[in-house]
Amino acid sequence: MHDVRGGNLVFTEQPASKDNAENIELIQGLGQTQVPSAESNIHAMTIVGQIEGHMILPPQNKTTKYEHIIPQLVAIEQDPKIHGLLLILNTVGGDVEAGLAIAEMVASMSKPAVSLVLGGGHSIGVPIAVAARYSFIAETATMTIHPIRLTGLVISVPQTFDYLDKMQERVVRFVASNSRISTERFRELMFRTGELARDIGTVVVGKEAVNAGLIDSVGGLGEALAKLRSMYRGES
Amino acid sequence: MLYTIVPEEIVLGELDKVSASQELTYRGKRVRVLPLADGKYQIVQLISSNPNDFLRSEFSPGAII
Repeated sequence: MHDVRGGNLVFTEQPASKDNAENIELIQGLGQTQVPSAESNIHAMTIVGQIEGHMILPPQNKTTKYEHIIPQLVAIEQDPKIHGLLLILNTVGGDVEAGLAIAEMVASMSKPAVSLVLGGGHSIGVPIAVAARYSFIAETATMTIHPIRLTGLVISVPQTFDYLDKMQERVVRFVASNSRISTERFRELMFRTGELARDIGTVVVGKEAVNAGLIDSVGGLGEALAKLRSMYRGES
Repeated sequence: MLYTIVPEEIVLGELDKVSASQELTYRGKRVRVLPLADGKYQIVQLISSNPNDFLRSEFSPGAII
């Protein structure tokens, strides 16, 4: 069995061959030999890469599939052994309706949910991050707020524009009703010019997301778990 | 409709490379899989109405069976 400690490979006693085959699979799949197996009373869910919705994305994308996430949320809500949900986000956005579906499911759970934005929680990741009852953002993590658009398409009829506007309103209203930010302020961030090089909109980093009222606190894993624990114990 | 910071041409770059999936029964559960070159299958989707099945890592999308 290989054990990586501080960058040095440490070779320990060889386990049985069945374990070895499992370890090779783990190295190929996850790049590590061991995963924690202790029973946990919370469930950690990762929302990474592109949020995949109505369309199967080509293989160069790392995706989070909503058809798998949604029944998991049902299981978490229903399983008496699970006391809370830790939602870890590092996403570049994705399908609007899949993202809103996940966000609505999280927001309507009766069990406590805490979200933690690491790296990035962009575009449709924003409503998912605010859907949890309490949200954290890492100091270095960023969130990009920008308008929904159809790239490469010429908007030919006013109806197309109305449709985009309606999709966007769903995101704006969800974010405003699930965080401290107002619809006016969120729209202002969404349409700000001169901040992004290739687009209109805003990037907020760590503390700025908290100051804007989007996220509740700056913090990491320790803070997020402590908050979740105090929530399911009924302390806050 | 996509709402992402990644340009659409990068997200959809190799759309034609999506290969055909098939359905089979694995450990008593219906799964949609992609056949791999070495005779194994990669799970694309679990088809079940039992939400607890979705918490089992052997059925998560991307798992090799």
